[in-house]
Formats: sequence, structure tokens, C-alpha cells
Amino acid sequence: MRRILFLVFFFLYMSLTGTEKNAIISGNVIDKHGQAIAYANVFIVETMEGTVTDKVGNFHFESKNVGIINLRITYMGYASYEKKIHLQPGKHYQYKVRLEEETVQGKAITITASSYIASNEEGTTLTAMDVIRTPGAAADLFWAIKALPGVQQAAEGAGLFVRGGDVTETAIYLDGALISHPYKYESPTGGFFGSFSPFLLKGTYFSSGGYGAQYGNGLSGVLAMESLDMPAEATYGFGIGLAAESAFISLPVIKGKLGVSVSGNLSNTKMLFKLNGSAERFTRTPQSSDLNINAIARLSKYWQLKLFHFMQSDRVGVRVEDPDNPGVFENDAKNRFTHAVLQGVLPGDWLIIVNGGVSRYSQHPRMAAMNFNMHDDLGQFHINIEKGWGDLHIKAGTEMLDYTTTINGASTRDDDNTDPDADAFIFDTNYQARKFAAYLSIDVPVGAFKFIPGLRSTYDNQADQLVIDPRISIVYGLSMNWTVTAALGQYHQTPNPRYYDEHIGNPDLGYSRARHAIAGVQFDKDGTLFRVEAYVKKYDNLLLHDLGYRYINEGYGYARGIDAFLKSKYKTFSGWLSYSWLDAKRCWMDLPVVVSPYFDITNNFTAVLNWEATVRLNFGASFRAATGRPYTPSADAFQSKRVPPYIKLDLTVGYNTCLFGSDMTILYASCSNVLGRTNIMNYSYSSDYTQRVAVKSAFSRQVYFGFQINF
Amino acid sequence: MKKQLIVVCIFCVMVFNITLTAQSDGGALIIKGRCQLEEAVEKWDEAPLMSARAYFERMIGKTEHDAWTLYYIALAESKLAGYHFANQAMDDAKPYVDGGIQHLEESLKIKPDNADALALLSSLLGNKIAFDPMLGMTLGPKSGRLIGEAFALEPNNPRVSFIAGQSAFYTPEMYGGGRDIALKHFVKAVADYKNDKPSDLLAPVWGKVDAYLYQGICQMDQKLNDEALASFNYVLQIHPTHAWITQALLPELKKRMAELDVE
Repeated sequence: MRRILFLVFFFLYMSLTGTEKNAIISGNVIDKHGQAIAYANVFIVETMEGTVTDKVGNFHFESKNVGIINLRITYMGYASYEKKIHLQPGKHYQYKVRLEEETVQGKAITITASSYIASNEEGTTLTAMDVIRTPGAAADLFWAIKALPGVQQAAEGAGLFVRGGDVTETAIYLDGALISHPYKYESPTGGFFGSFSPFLLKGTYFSSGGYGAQYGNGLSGVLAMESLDMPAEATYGFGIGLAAESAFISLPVIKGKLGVSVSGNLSNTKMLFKLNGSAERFTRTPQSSDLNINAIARLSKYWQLKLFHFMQSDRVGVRVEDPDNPGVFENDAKNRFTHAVLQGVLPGDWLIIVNGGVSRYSQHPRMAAMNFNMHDDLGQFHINIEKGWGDLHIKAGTEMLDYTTTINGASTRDDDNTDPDADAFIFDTNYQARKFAAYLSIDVPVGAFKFIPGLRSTYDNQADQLVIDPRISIVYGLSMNWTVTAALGQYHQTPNPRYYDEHIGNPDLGYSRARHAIAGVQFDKDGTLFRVEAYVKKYDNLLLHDLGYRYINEGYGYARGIDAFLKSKYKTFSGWLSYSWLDAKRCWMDLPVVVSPYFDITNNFTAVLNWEATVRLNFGASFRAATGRPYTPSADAFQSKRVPPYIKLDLTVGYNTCLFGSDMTILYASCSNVLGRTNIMNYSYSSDYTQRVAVKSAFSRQVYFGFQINF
Repeated sequence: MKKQLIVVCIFCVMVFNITLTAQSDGGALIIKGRCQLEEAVEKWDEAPLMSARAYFERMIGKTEHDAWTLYYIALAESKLAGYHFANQAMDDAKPYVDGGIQHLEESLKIKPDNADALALLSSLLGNKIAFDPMLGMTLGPKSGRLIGEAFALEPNNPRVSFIAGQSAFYTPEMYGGGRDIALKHFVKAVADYKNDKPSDLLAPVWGKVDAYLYQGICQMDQKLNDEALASFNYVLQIHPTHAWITQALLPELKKRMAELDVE
């Protein structure tokens, strides 16, 4: 009996423990840099046996299995490793395994070639605070964007000259509506400041090329701004600086249902220029005022209506340096923009955004024999729809733009003519044009690739031409942190309406065309962003003055270059470096041969550094250096020389506190052009090229200070 | 007789072995993993959470309950995302949010009427919006629709109410959220937890303590101090050293109550 019981317990014991020793599987898991991978899952596919690696990547477990098994090692973001093993009892199997980073299938790829995003959201290129804190940017979005690669320091002011393109070749949008006059103190090189305060904006997308089919009528770049959302709580504040006063109020009128934000700015630079000693340059120092009203109504859970009204006026009188006829240029301008956006979700989860609006820009420029009034009216209507199926995303839209331009008064053939006795002609024209466009764009992820093909078609009744622009953007996720981008695309732009005028232009003008090819690589990890891109652009059908001083579509040219951008943060320091190399040549406008246009700035370098010395005190510095712009030193040597390099160092200091029971009080002071360098922006020559006058930068060393209080 | 006894004993050994084999299969494996995940959440450390996730990952394809296996992988990933969120390591949290969404979508392909999976997916989509608010316009409605479907399937599922409450808690009022709405969901969740008797043994059982915690926070907001104290005390009965409650919430609540007493 005892023997029987022994036998039973022996069977029981053996069945539970087995008679043979287990196989031992151990080893270490590393990445391609030799760094240990902690918590990788190491297991036998055929069973539940396995473990996870420890903090130094080691693993060790025993297996009761015998025979051929598959050992698998997985870790999120890495390609899984698998190996067949012939397991034998009692044996020890050791492995050192290197996991390769996965070609991020399914990873949401939001970047595309040449795009930058400015907002407060995570993963963006520039935050709103970067915009405000960029020394020398005067809290102006356009100035801050000029510190990004691909934007040339071709002129002072806010004008965006992108990758060898003229300022008029960058399309500017607000809430999906085209802004035809986005600058204050507008000039042929853009304007001195942008019209929209960064405090009014929720986010900004800037593309220096290769942008998608959603955007049109820009040969070089796109800046798309989005206005603020509904205020969550009542806030108000005001600011006073040496040259400006501003105030704002945001109210949730019906909490969660209706919100209103109103802001206004008054700017008078008289004190600024008087204090800094350059007031004599102006007959009327620059002055401006603006008022913005933004109302948002939540109509239902998924429907929202946003209304935006903006009005601005500015005036300036500046002495024009000209060896033959020193003169005075004066201008008064008014800008109005009213826009409504209705967005919601249709059955089937289609997102729809319908927007429409009207804008009017009026100006009264005068200089010597030139004196005219111009009104630019633009009415527009857009419908956009989009829907996602997993990672597949489709976007489509249509738009109608109606332009009316009236000009009456006297003008010379040449805008820069300062001779009061120059031949002027009287004109009274009323020009109208209507554009229709439609686009389709699809995000197609295929493994680690993301393809964004798109088509945009545009019809312009003045050009009486239908053009179709194919575009494609390709993104390849090399790893979790490295991304390769490429873009190809065709872009058309119609001339400014006034070039169709029969007196100063040509009613038969057609589209200008650009073709972009871009390739680049980006690294993005833990707040460090590095990007380098190369591009080639070909232009044709550009506007060109013919011998009869009419415009024709026979200009052409190219631009090629390399852009590099590095943004990072270390402890209390943050900042970015930006460098662009550019080679651009054009036969265009008044340049009858292929030469460097004035915006062919070969080297552009910007360094921006911010230091949070304490929680309240911060310092900022920015350094900009750029090759001097080309100029024409004689009648037969077009654009053959360059002005001296542009160099500017700006410093700011800010102190945050809470005065008078406010939520936030910012005291700030800045010094622009600390080095006191006289940057020469151009030379103005006499008609026979025997005398010249240097056109100097408006920024001598300048000090500015002020405060902002928010409640 | 001896021979009979030998046969009986050998039969017992065989039956014992078969029982062990059955327990290491299917549902038992999931229940074991569920316990491991609960312990990991209690320890609130990366290593046990990763181990729990790894355990479920090893289980894929090995039982007839892959819908639940995928759900629990996603649940572990949502906890890992929460762990990294709490440590401000957003880059580390992101892959777990994406992974969780992917696993839940796979789970729902197998078992489309799983209210727990629908609710958790809704929650993870909300997390994804937090990374990229521009996605809100497309993912927001989808997230809302999913929680609606979950409610329609199981109106008294406490985790659905809890997730709806969390979503409202972290959503600004202007987007349909707010703590008033959140409190209603948490109160319902707490009531539903008391009567929670899942018909499926493999269904999740998490969230009760968190429902009391969030209920307490919302009650504090509404100045329902006694109710908030009761909610926190419930949590403290289970986790006497709960850091958030003992170091932040309770002192603040007691300070308020003392001020009221003085008045």
C-alpha cells in the first residue's frame, strides 16, 4: 500500500514539477545607439512564458518548453525581433538583441515640407510667446516669421519675401479668408508692420513653399492665421508703450454659448523718433489706430459661428532721398475687413467650414506729380469640407473671390519718380475681376509614408484662363524622431488688379507660374527641432515691362537654396538658429535681363536667445545678419553690386509681476540695433547715375519701453 | 482493490493536471492579467504597468477572448499614458495613446458592442485632442458619439459614466464640458459601482476609487464640503496614503471648512 501511495505522489510530483531542468533564456536589449531598452517584452510566441527587460535592458527567464520555439521581443516604437530557437532542457541561451526603430506605421505625421506652425500648442515651431518675446520683432507676427529660414531680409518692415519670391507672392489668410492688404504703412516692399496682433490669434501656419492645394494665388509662400476662440472667462487689460497704447476686453457673454472680444490700438511714433533722434526723417511721423471685434456663438454642440471685424487706419509722411529731386512721400490708408465663419459637423462626421466676407482697402498716396486715390474691394466666399477615415483624410473646397479696384487721380509711369515736373497722366479706372477655384487634397498613409496629393483648379475671368495645379507632399517617418519630407507642386498667381489697367498695365495679362521641388529632413525630440531643406523653384510668365512700358507675361527666372533651422531649450535658456542660402535670378518687371532681383539675399542668419533668469525676469537677444541686397550702380549694369551686409543686434528685458491686483503685469524695455550700425538698405541714384544717396535703415539705435496689465 | 486504488489515484492525478491546464487557458489568464494590472495601477510605477501590458501582449491569439485581451492592452496603455502625463513627459505619453486607440479599434472589430471599449476609446481620443487641439473638430464629435453609443449599450455601466465624467471634467464649458456636468456623471458612476454586477466575468472592474476621488473634487468645487469629505474618506479607507488627497485636497477642504466654522 505504501508503495502504491509513494507511486501516486511520485506521479503527482513529477506531473507538477517535471523531471528535467528548464531551459534558461537571458540577454540584453539595446537600441541602435547601444542604449539599453527598459521594459521590452521578451516572450516565447507559442506560450505565455516571458518577461520584460529591466532598467538596464537585461532579461532572464526559464522555459519548460523543448523543441523549436520562436522568441519574440517587442517594444513600442521599435520593430519587433523574432528568432527561432531549438530549446533543450537545462541549456542556457544568451542573446544580445538590437532593436531597430520602427518605420512609424500609424504615427500621426502632421508636418509637411517647409511648413512652420506658430501657436501655443505642443509641437509647434514657434509659440505665441516666442512671437511676442522675439527681440526686435516688436511683438509683430510677421517680424517674428522673418526670423524663420526661407524668409529674406530684403527690406525693413514686415514684408515676407519667401525663397527668392517678391513680397506680393506670399498669400496671407485669416480664418480661411484671403487678406489682400495685410500690412500697416503699406509700401511696395510690404509694409512696416503686420495688421494683426498676435494677441488676436490662436495659431498660425506658415509655409515657405510646396504648400497644399488648399491655398492659392501665391507663387512663393502662405501665411494662414486663425483668430481666437471663445473666451473662457472675462479678461481685460491695457498696455502703454513709448509709441502705442492698447486695450482689450474678452467676455463670455453667455458662458459657453456666446463670447465677445474687443481690442484696439493707437500708435503714434512721434515720441519714439523724437527720443531716438530720427524724427527729422518724417514730415508726419507714422500714426495708426485699429479696432478689432471678434464674436463667437456656439449654436449647438457641433456648430459654431464666428464673426470678425477689423478696421484700421494709418498715415505717414516721409522724406525721400533722391539725388535729383529730394521729395516727400505721404500716404493715408484705411483698411476694413468683415468676415463670418460657420463651422460644424454634418451627418457622417463631415466637417464643414463656410466662410464669407468683404474687405476694403483705401489709400491716398502722393509724391511729386503722383497723387491718386485707390480703393481695393474684395468679396469672398469659401466652402471647405473634410473627413477622416482613420489616418486617411480628405479635404475639398471651393471659393469665389470678387475684386474691384478703382483708382483715380494722377500718376507717373514710374512709382518711384520724385520729379514734381515728371509726365503724369490722369486716370479714372474701375477694374473688376472674379476668380473661382476648387481643390481636393487627400492624406494617404502607406506604412511609414504619408502622401498628400492634391489638385487645385482656378479660373480668372480677366485672364480668361482655367489652370490646374497638381501638388504632392510626401513624408517618410524614418524613426520616431527623424522625418524625411519632399514636395512638388505647381502654383499660379494672377497679377494685382491694377496691372490690368489699360494705362499703366495690360488688360491681356495672364497668370504667372512657379514650380517648386523641395526635399528635407527633420529631427524632433524633447523640444529640440532641427530641420534642413533644399529647394529649386522655376518661374515663368512673370510680369515684365516691355519697351512700350506695358506689362507682358514674358518674365522668367529661378530660385534655389538651402534652409536650416534649429530650435532648442536648455535649462532656463531657449532659442533658435536659422540660416538660409539663396540664389535667385529673374528677368522681371524693370529688369530686362536675368539678374538678381533686390530680394536675392544670398545669406540670411538669425539667432534668437531667451533666458528666464528668474520666474519673473527674462532677457532676450536676437542677432540678424544678411548679405546686402543687390542694386544697380549704372544704367548698363543691372543689379551688379550689393549694399554692405545687414547686421542688427536687439536686446529685450521683461519683468512679470502682479500690480494693482492684476493677473499679470509685464514691464518691458528693449534696445534695437544695439551696435548702432547704420544699415544701408539701398542706393538711390540720379537719372544719369553720377550721384547717389544711401537709403538708410529707419532703425538707428532705439530704446523702447512700456508695460502691459491684464486682469 | 489495490489495483482499483491505483487506477483511482492515477485518475485523480490526470484530472488535477487537466484542471491546471484549463486554468492556465482562456478566461483565467485574462483574470490573472486583470489582477496584475490592478496591482500595477495601485503601485503607479512604470515597471509594473509595463509588465502588465506585456503580459496581455503575450496573450494575443492564445485565447478565444482576444477582444478582451486587446481591451486590457489598451487599458494598460491608457494608464501608462496617464503615468507619463502626470510626469509631464508628453512625448513618452503619445505612443501609448496612439497604441491604445489602435488596440481598441482592433478589439471593437471583434466585439463591436463592447461598451467598455467604446468608452475607453472615447477617452483616448480625448487625450489625442489634448496633444493636437486642431484634431478637436474631427475627433471631438467622434469621441462624443462613441461615449453616446457606450451609454446606449450599457446605461448603468459605471466606467462609462466615469469616463464621461472625466471627459466633462477636462473639457471647458464652452465645448460642452465643465465640472457641473462632470459631477452628475461621477455621482451616477458611484451609484452604478455599488450595483455593478457585470454579466461577463472578463469585463473590467476598475475605476471605483477614482470615481469617488473625482466626485470629491467636483463636490469641493460646488462647496459641498461634507459630501466631498465623505468621498475623500472613502478613498482613504482603501488608500490611506493617497498623496493627492492627503497632501493637497484634504488640507484645502479642511481649511475651507474651518473658515466656514469661524464665520
